[in-house]
Amino acid sequence: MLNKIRNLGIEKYIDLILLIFLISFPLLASPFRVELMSKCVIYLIFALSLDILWGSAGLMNLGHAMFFGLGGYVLALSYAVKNGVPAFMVSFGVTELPWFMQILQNQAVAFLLGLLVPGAVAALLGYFIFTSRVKGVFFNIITLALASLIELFFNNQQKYTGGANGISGLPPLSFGGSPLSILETYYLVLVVALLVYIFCRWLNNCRFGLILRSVRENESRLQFLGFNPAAFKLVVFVVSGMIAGLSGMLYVPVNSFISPNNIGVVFSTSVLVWLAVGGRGNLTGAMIGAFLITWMESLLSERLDDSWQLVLGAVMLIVVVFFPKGIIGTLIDWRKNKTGHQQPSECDDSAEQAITPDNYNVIREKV
Amino acid sequence: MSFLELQDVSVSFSGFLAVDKVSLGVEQGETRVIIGPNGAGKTTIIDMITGKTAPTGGKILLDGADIAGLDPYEIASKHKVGRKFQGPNLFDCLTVYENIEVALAGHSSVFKSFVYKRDKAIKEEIKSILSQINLYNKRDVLSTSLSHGERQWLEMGMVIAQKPELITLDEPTAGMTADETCKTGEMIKTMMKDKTVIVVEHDIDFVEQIAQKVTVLHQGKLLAEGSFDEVKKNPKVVQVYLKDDDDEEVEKDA
Repeated sequence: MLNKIRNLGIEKYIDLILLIFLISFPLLASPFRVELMSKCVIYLIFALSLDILWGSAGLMNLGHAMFFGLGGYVLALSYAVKNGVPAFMVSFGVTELPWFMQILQNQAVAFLLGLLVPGAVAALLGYFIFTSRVKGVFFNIITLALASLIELFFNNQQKYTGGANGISGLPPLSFGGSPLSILETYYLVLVVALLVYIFCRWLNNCRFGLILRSVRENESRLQFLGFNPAAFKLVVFVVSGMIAGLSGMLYVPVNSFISPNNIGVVFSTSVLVWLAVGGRGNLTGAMIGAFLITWMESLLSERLDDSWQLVLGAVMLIVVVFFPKGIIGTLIDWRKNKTGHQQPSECDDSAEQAITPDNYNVIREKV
Repeated sequence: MSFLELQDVSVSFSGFLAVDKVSLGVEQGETRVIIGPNGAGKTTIIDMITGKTAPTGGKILLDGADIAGLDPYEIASKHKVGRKFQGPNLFDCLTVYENIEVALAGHSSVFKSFVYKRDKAIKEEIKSILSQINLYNKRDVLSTSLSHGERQWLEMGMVIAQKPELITLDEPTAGMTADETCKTGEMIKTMMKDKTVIVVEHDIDFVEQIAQKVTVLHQGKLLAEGSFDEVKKNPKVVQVYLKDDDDEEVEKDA
């Protein structure tokens, strides 16, 4: 038992410290900070959803915010249409709610759709992308294009989405009629985050996770062992999309505002940066990256004037250049080195490209 | 009818006929070696049997079913064909143990990957495979840190874990020392005793060690077929293949 605890990776300790910190945070901080932290925890969930996709399966989705935004918009629209046709629709001459908005008037259905819509979009996109064997950089480009397409779509459909202004004045989460306080909302978000974290850990540890890592390492080899990689990629894409949608739904009542910024390229890039800074494939890196960067963003922007983005940019550059595996990835390596375990230093994302005498033939065959 | 039967199989890559109407039959339990000079179409034939390349003509019958043009994963899971690639082709950043675990037969659907449990029987199975390929003591090592020969063996272990009926080995001894080559030959003889095995190989001593029957390809066509001794004495084979390498060089220069 003791041995098991000692062998526990350093990342598990960090997770535990983070959890204790988040649980005790409201005891020390003002309601304003607690509200900020709620948003931060939502971003942790969002980052986790990308980590099972990018970190585990190696599918770098450059448009991941589309799932976040879809989940968010479904819930935001359901709030907006709760009491009939909202003002922004009236100004475009809509007098009666179309059928797809009437469905959203039912809160329970809206919550369900907030998961199912991103999941269905992921399934549809994933089906076409993965069965047509789009891989590597082409996958990245397609997802980037899709993100800007969806952003454009939400900007243009002003009648139904509020266009570039987004949808504002959204109420906080309520439970049985009475709205939740900031503190209650915070702990609700935290519990959801904890459940998502446990789910992702389970996913990574079961055989499915092992196969995902095999997809990342050597997809073409996997086929000759009887696996259909497209099926595994499709499932993780859908699961990841649904978790991102869930985080988008939580975001809406906490932020009380959603706009196309939350669905497009810029926000997609943010989550990539969190993972790049924190590290990929171990869940902890994704959370630490999201946590540090969003927290730095708000602290720096309070203390410095316009130069805060420069400082943040410099920090990101330093991390990415000097710790290409991210803060947590580097920490895990360092720790393994120290305890005399295997040094997996060659095993970063670029390992696939490195040509060694052993894989020369394989690479040549692929080309 | 033979267990594996290629009937007039051809494939061309943008006009170049890589394999030209090759027919061959391999009996159940046989170990067949395919030899031939570079570019003879040996690997292409393995590619077609395992689904990497679809033939442009002909039939590939495995136990009576036509598998030509199916996806690699279907051929591997439904028709139980295993493949060892030329030059070890592994999951680099997984451990030796995990490489074998991925390959284990019968757990390759998405659903099964969720309900799979590493129970006692599975642990025993992996342990037995790892012992057979002499890597049990290195089970927690990343496959990247193995030596070249060990990597070749690990891939052989993966093929065994796949429990195939038909095993294709593409140059299993490439880059090995003489000692390792000999050990590999013994592995094939013991571990794959009751399986049907097709081996593509260059090393003539190794061919002699394992082959029951040898097929010689030349420029995409079947040149000769028979026991090792028959083939070795066949004048056509001697002319295109078994000559000294020096002659090949001369040919190329000319």
